[in-house]
Amino acid sequence: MTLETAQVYLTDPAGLARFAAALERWCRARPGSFGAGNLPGCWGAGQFSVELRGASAEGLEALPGVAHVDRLRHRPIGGGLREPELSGGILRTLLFKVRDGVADAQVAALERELLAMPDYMAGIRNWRLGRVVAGDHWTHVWQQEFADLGDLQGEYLLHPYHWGWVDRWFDPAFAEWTVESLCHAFCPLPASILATSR
Amino acid sequence: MIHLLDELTLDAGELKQVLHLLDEELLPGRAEPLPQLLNRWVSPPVVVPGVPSTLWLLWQLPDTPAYYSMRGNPGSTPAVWPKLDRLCQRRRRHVLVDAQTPLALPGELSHDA
Repeated sequence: MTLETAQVYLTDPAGLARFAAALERWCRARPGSFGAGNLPGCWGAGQFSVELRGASAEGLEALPGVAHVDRLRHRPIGGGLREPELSGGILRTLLFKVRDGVADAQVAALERELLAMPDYMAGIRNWRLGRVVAGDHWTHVWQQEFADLGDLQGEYLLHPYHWGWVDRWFDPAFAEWTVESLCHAFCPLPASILATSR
Repeated sequence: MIHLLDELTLDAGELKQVLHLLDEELLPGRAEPLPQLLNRWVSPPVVVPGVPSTLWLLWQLPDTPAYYSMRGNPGSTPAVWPKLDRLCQRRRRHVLVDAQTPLALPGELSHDA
């Protein structure tokens, strides 16, 4: 199945409600798709996250108030489900770009360590890591589903496996620095999207 | 409390230039003293032909939120690190916590694509 994810940037934040209504209609016409407004605290992200399963985000740009759509297709390389029936949770999407010239073995080590995060953090209910196969900038998509925002902003960010180990790949101050840019987005999730797209 | 220990392996002849880079480009760029540089040591305390010197920099941060906020400081911009790397044979940064801190263990999960 083709997996596609997108960040939507609006021309005018005042147009949020109008765009949200249009996005809802757009998603209804594409079974398996999902879109929601990003919550405060995101960085490098658009105003909306959109997920598509077996459909393309093409045409999203034509919705009212859209300035830019950052969309990409990805191929899963790992993931897991602890709570496939999750409802009323949070979807977190991290898009990142690996620096040019980084050795394959180093990228593989980063991928392994990201996929080990749920081993340490019970709050990550469902997760998936993918490599981008079509897109302009990003190389990876790392998504997690949480039961509530506290699990993302609490356990996930504050766990020593995160800041004391995995974070070195993202920090220029470490010799292991691998990731040069990222987009951190999270939004409300009515029902697990990762469980329905395996 | 979190400590960061930078371990830079370099030719003794490069030490002065490395310390200059730290003083001129890294430390003044800090928006606030996060992390705080506590100590810097070099070993061995003599120049031994054919033996590299090791420079240790010990930094301190109050907590995990401070760890993330230091990444937003001007001093954490990537520019200075490649300059240091060109002067060093090897560089490692260690993240340290108190030795009596209970260490988190991984659970047992299965992963699939």
